[in-house]
Amino acid sequence: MDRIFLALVKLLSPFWTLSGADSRQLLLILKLKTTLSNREPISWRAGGSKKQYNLHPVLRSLLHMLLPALLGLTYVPLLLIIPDKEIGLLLVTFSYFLFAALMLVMTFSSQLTDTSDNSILLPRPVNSRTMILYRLLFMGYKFLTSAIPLSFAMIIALSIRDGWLRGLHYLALLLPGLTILFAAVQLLLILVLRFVSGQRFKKIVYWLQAIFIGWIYLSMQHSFMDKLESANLSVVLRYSRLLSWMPQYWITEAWMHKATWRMHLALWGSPVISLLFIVRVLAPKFSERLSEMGSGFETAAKGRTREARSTRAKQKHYLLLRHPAAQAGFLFARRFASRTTEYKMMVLPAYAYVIFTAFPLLSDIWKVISTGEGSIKAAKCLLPVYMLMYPVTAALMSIKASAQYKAAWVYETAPGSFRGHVRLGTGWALFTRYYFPAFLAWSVVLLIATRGALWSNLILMACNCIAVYFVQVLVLFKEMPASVSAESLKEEKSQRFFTTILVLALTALVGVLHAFLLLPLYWWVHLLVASLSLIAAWLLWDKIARTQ
Amino acid sequence: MSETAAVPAIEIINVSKSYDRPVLHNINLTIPQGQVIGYIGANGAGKSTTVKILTGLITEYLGQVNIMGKDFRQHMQEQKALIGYIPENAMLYEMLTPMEYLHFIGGLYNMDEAVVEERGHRMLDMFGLTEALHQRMDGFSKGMKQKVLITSALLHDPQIVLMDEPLSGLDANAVILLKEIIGGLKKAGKTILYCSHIMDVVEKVSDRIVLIRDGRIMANGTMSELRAQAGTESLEDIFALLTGRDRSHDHGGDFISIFNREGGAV
Repeated sequence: MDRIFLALVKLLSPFWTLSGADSRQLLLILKLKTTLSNREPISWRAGGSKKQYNLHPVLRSLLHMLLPALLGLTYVPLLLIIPDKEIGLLLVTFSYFLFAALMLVMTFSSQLTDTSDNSILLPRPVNSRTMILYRLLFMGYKFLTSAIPLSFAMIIALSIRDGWLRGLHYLALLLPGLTILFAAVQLLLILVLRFVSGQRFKKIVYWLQAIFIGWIYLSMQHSFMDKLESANLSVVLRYSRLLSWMPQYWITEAWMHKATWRMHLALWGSPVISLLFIVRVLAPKFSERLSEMGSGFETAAKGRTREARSTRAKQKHYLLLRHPAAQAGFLFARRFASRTTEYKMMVLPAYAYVIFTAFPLLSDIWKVISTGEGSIKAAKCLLPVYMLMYPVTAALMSIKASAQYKAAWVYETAPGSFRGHVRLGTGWALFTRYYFPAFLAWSVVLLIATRGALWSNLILMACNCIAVYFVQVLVLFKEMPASVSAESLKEEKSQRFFTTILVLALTALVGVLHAFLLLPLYWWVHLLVASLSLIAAWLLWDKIARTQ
Repeated sequence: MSETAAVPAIEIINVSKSYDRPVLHNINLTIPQGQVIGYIGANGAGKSTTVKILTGLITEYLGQVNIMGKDFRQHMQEQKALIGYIPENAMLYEMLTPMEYLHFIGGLYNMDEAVVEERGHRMLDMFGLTEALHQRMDGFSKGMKQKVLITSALLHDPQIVLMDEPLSGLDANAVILLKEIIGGLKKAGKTILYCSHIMDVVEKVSDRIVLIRDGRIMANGTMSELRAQAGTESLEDIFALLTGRDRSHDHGGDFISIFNREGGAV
């Protein structure tokens, strides 16, 4: 894969030179970046000791593609169920692009302004256009290697239904479409960066992510999808002229051989124009901002924020924590989580993925609440409570790393047996920050909507989640908070992936047991099981506090 | 003196830089070619910011910087090729071996591969890294990384060398070697801006010393000029005097007294 990518970059050298970059340096930097990416160790935990295996690049690429390829399977039913080929393809392409955009904003936006190698590259004679182009190309390559496997299942389904040439045709059309999406998102971010200081940019990207979560919700709520399901394309076009400006529509029309020459021109021409615009016009300012971001100066908190922080510091509520080390861990985690933009940017996408996954299941929730059968209603209402465990798991997995410093030595040099207490305090802080508020809000809504019918189930669910969460703290959170460098956390991506899947599977298992075995039972059974879960949680609490 | 040599290597004219607070106030400094300038100041005085401006790591500032007589902003790419930069913290691509890293850096300067190979081998040999030439740097100590960093900064034979705490993490032999290298570079007519807190090294290697405090240049002269100006012998005393530190006060005693109070840690 890397070789093909590099060969393609080399082949297009005249274009890079035309855009003002140094194509020789560009190739050199991209070669380096792919080498570094291939050398990142993939690690598993085996018997408590860390073993690292450097995989063959081909195997590594396949592993990297596995998850998106599996996720892509969810599009196939949509494609096959809808009888109208055009509507079906448009619907699937819409959904696919939405997920690709989510991936792009949530996972890749921080890479655009990664300043970790500023001190290596910026003092060297590398021009600003080369700097921006290498980032775009490398990110684009990484994005495509995730987004293309996401379409594999659709392409196979199309190939089986309409012949392999039609499948390949769709793939060929997706490439410029994804490039448009990629260029549009980067253009937006780079334009934002042009008008705000580099120091504020990270915070703005954080808010953009938050806005994007809202946008996903709204676009799903008011999307073309439900209209598409029940109407033909001409009706949809009448409903919204916006559709004709979207690459998803151009792709569908091109695949159906109905695209106008303007659509073809837009599909193939706009990525080139956007890229040229970014590199030729926006690059110099981007480099200035980048150098400013890497200068090591962070914006100090505003007066009001500082005051609020000092007031909060005085009102120390440790929520049941008694040991000073646990209280210290709790306070640290609270402050770290509220003050570190990079950390927030790691946790926030988890909420977006929850919304994205939960929405199709919850789209008819109000109808179900008012008219649905009892147990289905309860199962639907309670589903998000278990799903909200994902953000808190992400928060727990990310708190051990810090981009700013490695604090391992603090724990290594301090005397006494306190590590378990620190872990407990940290874990508890994250649970109360990332789970409780969402749980309480959803519970209040449900209790009002169902006139209190689900109260015992909600209590059971909360107790189950606390118990499952403490299993996570015990199993996943063996490091001290902020004691691992951010780079090491990146290296452990695969390990995180497998353990996260296992732990989420545990949450799902508890959820399934609840839904199928306990849900229809009497309220006192719920309370009995809830008290058992609480006892388990208390035992785990004690066990974590005692671990070293 | 030739016309080229008459052009200052570095000219900093009315340079100011602010973040949330001003960091540099109207700095004016001229560094002739072939001189070693010791640039000293307390933490947060503005030393690193000056160096970052001179390396192009910071591009938004007021005033003008000329490198070899040309405006740095206007001719940045061309001028960067004349500069070698040794930063304080060893940032390297640690997944590479030292030779791979040097080949990459050499490539950015469009250097011939054979030249990089030859120079890289010889320089790393001098630093005692012969055994580690083809080992990945993720297992290196801080000092070993610093040696690779110094090598990479000098690989392209720069006219101007900017050193920001270059001794950080180096062992005693490497410190001696680096001091000798600075002497060699000076003889070869290179210009060096040497930022450090280690006064005795600054005193030994510098032709001229510039002292910066709160973003302002407080002193600029040869060691003898500074001695005459301050009326004291050692650079440490001059530094303390110009940065407003009272050396007669027993700060050590004050520090220890913190622990002696009731409820203290000791």
